Amino acid sequence: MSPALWGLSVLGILFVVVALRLPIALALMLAGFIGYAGLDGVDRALLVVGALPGEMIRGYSFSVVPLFVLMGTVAAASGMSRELYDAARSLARPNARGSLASATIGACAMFGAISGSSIATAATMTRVSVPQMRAAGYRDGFAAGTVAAGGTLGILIPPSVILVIYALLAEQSVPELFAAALIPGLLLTAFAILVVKVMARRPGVAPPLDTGARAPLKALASTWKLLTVFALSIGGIYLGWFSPTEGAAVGAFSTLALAVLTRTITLSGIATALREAVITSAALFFVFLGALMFARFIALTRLPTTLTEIVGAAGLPALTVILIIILAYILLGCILETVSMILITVPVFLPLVVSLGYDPVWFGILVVVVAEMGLITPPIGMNIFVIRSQLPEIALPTLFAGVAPYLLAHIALIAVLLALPGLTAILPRLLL
Amino acid sequence: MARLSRLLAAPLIAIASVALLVMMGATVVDVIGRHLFGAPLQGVVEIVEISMVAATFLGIAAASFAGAHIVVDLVDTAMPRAAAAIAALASAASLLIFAALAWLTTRELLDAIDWGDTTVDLGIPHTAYWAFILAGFAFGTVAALLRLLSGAHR
Repeated sequence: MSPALWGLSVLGILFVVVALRLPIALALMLAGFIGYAGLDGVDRALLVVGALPGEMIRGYSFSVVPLFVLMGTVAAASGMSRELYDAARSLARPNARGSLASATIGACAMFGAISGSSIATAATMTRVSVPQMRAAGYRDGFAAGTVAAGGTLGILIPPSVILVIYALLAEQSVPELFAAALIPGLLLTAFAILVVKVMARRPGVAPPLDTGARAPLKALASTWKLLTVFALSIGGIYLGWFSPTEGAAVGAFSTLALAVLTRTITLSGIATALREAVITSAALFFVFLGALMFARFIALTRLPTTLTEIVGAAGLPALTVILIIILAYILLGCILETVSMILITVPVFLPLVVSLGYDPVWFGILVVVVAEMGLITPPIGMNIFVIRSQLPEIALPTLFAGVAPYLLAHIALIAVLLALPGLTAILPRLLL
Repeated sequence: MARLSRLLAAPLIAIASVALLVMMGATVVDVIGRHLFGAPLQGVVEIVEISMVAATFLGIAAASFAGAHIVVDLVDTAMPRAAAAIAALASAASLLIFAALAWLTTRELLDAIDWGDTTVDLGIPHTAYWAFILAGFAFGTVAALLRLLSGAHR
């Protein structure tokens, strides 16, 4: 059996063990080990697995992940989501169509920026905004679908944990990826608000509501904490005061300090935030370790090179190849969640994409957008499940139907990224 | 069983939380010291690295106790009857893999003891890093065993 064929067989083994509910981290280690042992012997494979945790020992740059996660869990525990929702609400025109839904999208984008996690954003904003939308007579599916879609916005607006993981994996610069993601993130937010406006036209979906006169000053007052943290941590990175790792520490610290000073967090809230940050980032790193083992094996099969050669020989246009890759991600999104999907596929696809002349930073943004679609599509849309766990009375099909229109926003953004690949290079060029 | 899991997880989470705070605090002290007082914190990279290893690997064990590792749910909806058997199989496989990881890490730890290396700035022995990693995988093994025994597969 050729190494490339063996590589594909092991990929098959991986999907079987993942489907059998083995934690993804362990599944990746197992499949990577079997694959490696098949090519290079059991003893060598055992050595490689054993040395794997050593990667974390020299892992200073990894600490950016738990610190950004901590910033998000502290923000959630200190009730920042409600403040942001109130801010977004006070910016809506009185009696505007679907104003509460637009406010939800805006608040999700802001909270998602600080929390860096799609699922955490959906979970937190559900508690804040769904009750208000339902009280105003919004349809259940529309209300919950808006939060599910809103959750996916923050992932592009820096700081973003997924982009940090992509940066570590693809050896790209974190500040460059953050800068590249901002414009697409804002575009996606705008597209999502457009979807709200169109959906709210339909009778009975979102009855108009008098939200009172616009109050931009109130909005500013409610967002000052977010703006301070953002200016300190992200601003500091681009002003050259500190590295992304240090920016994450400053961000987590200032979020915590502001929450304590404004008495919006309790001691048990701090403990919860720490616990969630520890568990979330440990689970992420465990998958990362597994993916590292799997990547070692994939490198041994030379599968990425073979793939590049095959595509090169076929002489397909670059755009066709990218479209095929996007399709592959959408299919994979049905069986894997975002981080695992990125960790498994980027080592395989990135060499091919770069050989086609695309910028790895641009590809990172594209991959994150495409992978995020998997969070709001069946069968395992994590955002949907997180919302459903809090609102069990809303049926799953209602939820999926409610979120479906927002997929158009993602598709529109993908089209823009394909048509204007230079879009992601604008801000990095200005800021760095 | 569930109570035992929580009992064992609590100290792991406490130590990992402290490590996370140390990671944050040391970095902030270094940044402030460097910019405002021209006095960076000696060995900050090593403080962050050892805290990172402690938080990550004790956290991996804590996540095992809490059943918080990332799992894909496809079979539950597709074949509810087979789900219980499959879950038991997955728990058994988790137990074996964690035990293998603990064994491999023990080998690395013994090597580190033989070499006796320390870090450059603060002189932290390399064994300390491997000890945290081993603790994580060893407690992970215990967590997997408890899950298998209790039939708490979700």
